[in-house]
Amino acid sequence: MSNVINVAKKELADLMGSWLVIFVFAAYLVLTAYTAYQFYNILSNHLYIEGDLVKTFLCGVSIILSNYGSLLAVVIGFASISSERQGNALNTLLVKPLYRDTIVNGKLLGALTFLVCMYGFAVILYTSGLFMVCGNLFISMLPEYLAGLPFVIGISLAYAMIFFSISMLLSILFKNLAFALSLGVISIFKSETTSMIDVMQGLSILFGDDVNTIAGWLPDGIFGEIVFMLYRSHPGMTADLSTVWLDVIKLLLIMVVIVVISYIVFLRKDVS
Amino acid sequence: MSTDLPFNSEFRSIPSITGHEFRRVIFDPLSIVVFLFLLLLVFLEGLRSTVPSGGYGSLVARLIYGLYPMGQYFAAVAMFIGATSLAEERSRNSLSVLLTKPLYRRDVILGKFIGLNIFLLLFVFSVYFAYAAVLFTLVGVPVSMPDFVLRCSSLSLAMFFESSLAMSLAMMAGVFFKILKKK
Repeated sequence: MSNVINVAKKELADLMGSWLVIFVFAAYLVLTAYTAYQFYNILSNHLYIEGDLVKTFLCGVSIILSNYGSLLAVVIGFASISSERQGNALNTLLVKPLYRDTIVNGKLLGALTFLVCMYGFAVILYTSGLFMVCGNLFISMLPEYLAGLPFVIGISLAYAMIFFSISMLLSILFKNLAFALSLGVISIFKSETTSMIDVMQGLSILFGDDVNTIAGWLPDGIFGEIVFMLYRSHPGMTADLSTVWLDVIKLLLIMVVIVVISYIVFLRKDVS
Repeated sequence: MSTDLPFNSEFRSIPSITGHEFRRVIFDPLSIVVFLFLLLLVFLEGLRSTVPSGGYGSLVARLIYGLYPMGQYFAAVAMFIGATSLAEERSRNSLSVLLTKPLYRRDVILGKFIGLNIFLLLFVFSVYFAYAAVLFTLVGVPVSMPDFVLRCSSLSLAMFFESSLAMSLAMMAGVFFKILKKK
């Protein structure tokens, strides 16, 4: 166990020192601040439903953590493997008396810790932005907003981990690191595009399945369904988590499957 | 005997660099993967257009809205080929060898830029052409073919310019930043 924690600490330090990660994180924070600023227009022009503002705020959090955060997760997944490959450290690490699953466990733990810290930072920045933009109006809704935050962060983290695992898997599989990173980014686009209604209707005509059945197994489709059920479908009503527990389990299942595949590939593949 | 060089002699190296760069990207795995995925998307969009209530109306509207989400793929491919254009040469140390040859740096950059733009032009036009072919096959021929061809070409050109801008920015970034080394 101590070896896993040592590898995780090293992974955390490497990610904090990676210029690529720092650059992408800085861009991510700019997007987060801009999302919070957009509420200025919404409130100024009264473009919201009374009693539904907290849901809109939480929806903004989900967009920051899932839509933008998935790109950050791809970069982190790529950086966790590429930095070792570039510095030839991966081979050195593998000849040490460490099991391969200790290494991948430590990397996953370190990367997950880093992602949680980054998400926490982004949520703090976003919440601070809401304080500045909304003022007293936001303070009155603060308890309800804080109550809804843990679930949004958790589900967005599960969604981002899917792309983190895909990126890590691609970095292990392909020696060309630029190709692996580009493919990881394109996987986000593919997930979004495949969940679009036009493409799903085409798939349903091709395979003969119902559109909802197909959408029900795509990460973007599942996540979109959760956000819709919780934050958009019932104006004025409180969020009912029992309506989305099945979608949450499906999302976690997809995440676990991709992490397991990454495990298997890392354990079996020669990474020289 | 005059020692002045003919005017066009300085630019003779550009076509060969252009051809080399074009051959590099056309067989690149990412270009092939994205192209095949876009063909699949084009086919699915075409299938969707056969649904009586599911279409957008005119063929041109279907062309616009059906290919709208594909712009991000063109930009992604453009950025990848732009960023790796000089960066990969630098990492393999072939850029150092290239610059010792009697080549102006201007010729190297211009040749790569032109080669990549030719690839992007063909890439974008081929996807639009494939989508038009799918629509003709599954939905029907447009009322006015010249009008459709003109609109399709304009859309493709607009998409090409956007991708070219992305590629140029990525190429500039590739010049300035250290690349990811290929082992």
